[in-house]
Amino acid sequence: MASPGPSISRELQEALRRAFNEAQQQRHEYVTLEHVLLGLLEDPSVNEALNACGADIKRLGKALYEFLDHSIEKLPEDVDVQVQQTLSVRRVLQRAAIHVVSSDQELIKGSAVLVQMFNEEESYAVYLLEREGIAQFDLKRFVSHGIRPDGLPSETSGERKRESEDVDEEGSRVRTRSRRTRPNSSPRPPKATSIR
Amino acid sequence: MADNNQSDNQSETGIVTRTKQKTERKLKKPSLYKVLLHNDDYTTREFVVEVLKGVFHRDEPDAIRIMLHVHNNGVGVAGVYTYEVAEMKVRTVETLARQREFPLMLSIEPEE
Repeated sequence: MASPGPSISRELQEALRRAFNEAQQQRHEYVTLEHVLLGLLEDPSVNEALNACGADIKRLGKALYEFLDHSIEKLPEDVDVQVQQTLSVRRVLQRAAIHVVSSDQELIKGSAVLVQMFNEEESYAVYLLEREGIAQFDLKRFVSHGIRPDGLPSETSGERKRESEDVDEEGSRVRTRSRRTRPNSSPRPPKATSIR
Repeated sequence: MADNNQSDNQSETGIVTRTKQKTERKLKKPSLYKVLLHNDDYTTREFVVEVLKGVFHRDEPDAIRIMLHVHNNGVGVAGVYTYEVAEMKVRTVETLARQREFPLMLSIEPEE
């Protein structure tokens, strides 16, 4: 029997719905990557990853709104708006789904979609992300292991709570040790021991 | 032995500096792209006007002007868009043209 395919997380469904509504309200013909990214900013998995990688989400949202308002053509009043996803959006969603299936996960989350955006050519969504200092590699590392670009473990990630607790224990162990060793690590004491 | 270690260290630091320079590349703002229509001897003027109105949302006089430009010069700009939208327009027109068996050709190129 074929195993059931992966399902789309409720949060991602809501994000895609927001993207669609945004396009419809603005009389845009297409749901583009910029609409999708705007919708994803409120998805917890995306919000957390972008925060951890150092993005200013408020500023990113504002830049996306401005781009959509000024650079995407609005349909004339006499034309029926039948919003459709661009090929680019379809490719990104497809790759996210394939990645989830091939890595034996069951749920397609917003963060998986975010990671796949970076493979699209000449995208303003990706440009705006990069302008916030976001790199695909950093996102992949955070999404997979909860490791932030600054090397600190994630404390909020629900999925990896156990792992990050382990890291925290380890981290605090290292911290206490270094606290103890710090006074000793000044140049004098080691000299004293070597003399002894 | 000590000399070997030293040269290893030096080459290591050399690599590190090189990677640093790579990551400091300047961020490039994506271009806008022109969608071009190419003239041929089979596609009708009516179909080109229909596409300019229906897909590129041009009004009638504008659509006729662009169609004539394509007819007289071999190529004409239907519209300027982001890469993502330009790709969608091309795909939409190609599908319509194929359904009607018109060999209408389109291309995209970055705007200077």
